[in-house]
Amino acid sequence: MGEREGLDVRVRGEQPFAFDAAFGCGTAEMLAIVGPSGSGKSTLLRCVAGLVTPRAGRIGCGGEVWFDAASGVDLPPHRRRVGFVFQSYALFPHRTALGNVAMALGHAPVAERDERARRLLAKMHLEGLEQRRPAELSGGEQQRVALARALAREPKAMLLDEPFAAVDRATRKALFRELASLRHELSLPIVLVTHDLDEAERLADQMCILDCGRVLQTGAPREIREHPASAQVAGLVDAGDD
Amino acid sequence: MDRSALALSFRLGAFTVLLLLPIGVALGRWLAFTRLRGKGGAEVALSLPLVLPPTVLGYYLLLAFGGGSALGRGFEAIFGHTLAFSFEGLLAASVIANLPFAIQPMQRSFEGIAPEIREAAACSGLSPWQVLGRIDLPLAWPGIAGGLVLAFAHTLGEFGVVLMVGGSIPGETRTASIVIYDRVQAFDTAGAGAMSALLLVLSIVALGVVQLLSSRVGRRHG
Repeated sequence: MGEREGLDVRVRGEQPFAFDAAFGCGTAEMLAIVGPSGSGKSTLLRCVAGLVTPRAGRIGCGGEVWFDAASGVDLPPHRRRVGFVFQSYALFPHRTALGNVAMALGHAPVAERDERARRLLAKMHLEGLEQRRPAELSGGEQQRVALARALAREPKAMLLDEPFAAVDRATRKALFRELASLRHELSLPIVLVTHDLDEAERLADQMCILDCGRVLQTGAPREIREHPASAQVAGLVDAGDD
Repeated sequence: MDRSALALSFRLGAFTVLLLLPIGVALGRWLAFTRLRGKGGAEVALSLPLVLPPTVLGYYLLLAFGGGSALGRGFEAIFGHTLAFSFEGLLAASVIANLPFAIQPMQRSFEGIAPEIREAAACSGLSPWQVLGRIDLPLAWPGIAGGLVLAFAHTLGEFGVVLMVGGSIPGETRTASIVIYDRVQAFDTAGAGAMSALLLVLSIVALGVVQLLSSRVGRRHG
C-alpha cells in the first residue's frame, strides 16, 4: 500500500502518560488538536516530531515512514523534516534572529543560507531586526522568528504547539492572519495544538478532540459543535465557550 | 623560590585541565541530560573526592597505581617505570581528585539550557554532534571554563593526594605545595611565605574568574 501524501499518525504509549490516538492531516490542510490541559495534545505532537517515542504504532508523512514499531523504524528528530513551533518559542538565545533561521538551513548550500534566512524573515515582516538577539525582541517578534525558523527547514509537516498562548491579544490577531495566509501558500499538513476552541474553529479545517490521551471525536469544527459524538465532547465544546 | 616546583605545579595543572576538558564535558553533559536510573549513583561516586580525606584517596590510588595492582604492572611493562611516584601517576591522581571540581559547574551549566532549545535544534535538523557544538558548548561555556579554572587552582594547592601518589621527587613529583611543607619543616618561613603568597593570589584570581563566569551563565540563560 502506498503512503498518502499527508500526515498519518497512529500511536500508543505510556510515557509520559498513557495515550492511544490516531489522526491524519492532508496536504494543505490544518488539523487542530483540541483538549484540556493534560489531555496529551503536546505529547502527540512530540511523537510526530520524534521527541517522544511511542511504544506502538506508525507515523508516516509525505510518502516517508518516520516511525513504525512493527518494523523497528524510528527516525531521530533531525531526520524528520518537521517545522516545530514551540509554545515558549525556544529560540537559540546566543544567536541573532538571522542566525536562528540560518541554523535550520543546514540542508542548503552555505553560500545561500544567509540570503534565504533574510528572505524568510522578510516574509514574516521582520526586516531590520535580523541582527537582534531573542532577548531584544518582543513576544510577537520572537514567535515570527520561530515560524521563520520552522519554515526554513523546508518541512514536510508544520507542527504548532500552542503558538499563540504566550502573546497578547493584538499580536495573536496579527499572527492568526499570518498563519491563515501561510496555510494557503504552503502545501503542507499543518497540525495546531491548542486548548482554545475558538482559535481552532477560526483556523482549522479539521478538529480532533482529545482527552486523557484518547481521541474523542474528529471532524470539521462546525460538525463537532453541532453534532458532538458524546456528552463528554459536548461538555468540552461547551467549556471552550466559557 | 623553588621555580622547578612551581613549573611542575603549573605543568600538572595544565595537563589536568587538558584531560578534564573532554572528560568533564562528556560526564557533565551526560549527568545533566540523562534520565537513566544510575544517574544518582554516578553523581555520588563522582563527588567522592570532595568528601574523602585527600590522604585516603591518595592511599587507594597508590594501591591502584603500584606494582601490586594489574594496572601498575601493566603500566610498568609498557613504559618501563611504575605509575606511582611518576609524573604520569600524579597526573592520573590529579584528574581523579579534580573530577567533582570540574564536573559540577559544567553539569549545572548544561542543566541551565532549556530542554525546548535543544529539542528545537534537533527539529531544525541538527544532529546530536551539531547540537553539542552549536548549542550546548556555546551556551554552557562559562560553566565549562569555571570548572576548569577551579580544577586548575585546586591542582596547584593539592597536597595530600600528591604526596601519597607522587612522593617528593624534585622535578618529577615535587609540587609547590610540597615545597611549602618542606620549607616550613626546615624553618625557612621566608621561602614558604613567598610560595604561599603566590598560591594565595592565584586562588583569589581563580575565584574572581569563577564568579565572573557564574554571572555570565545567569545572563546567558536569561
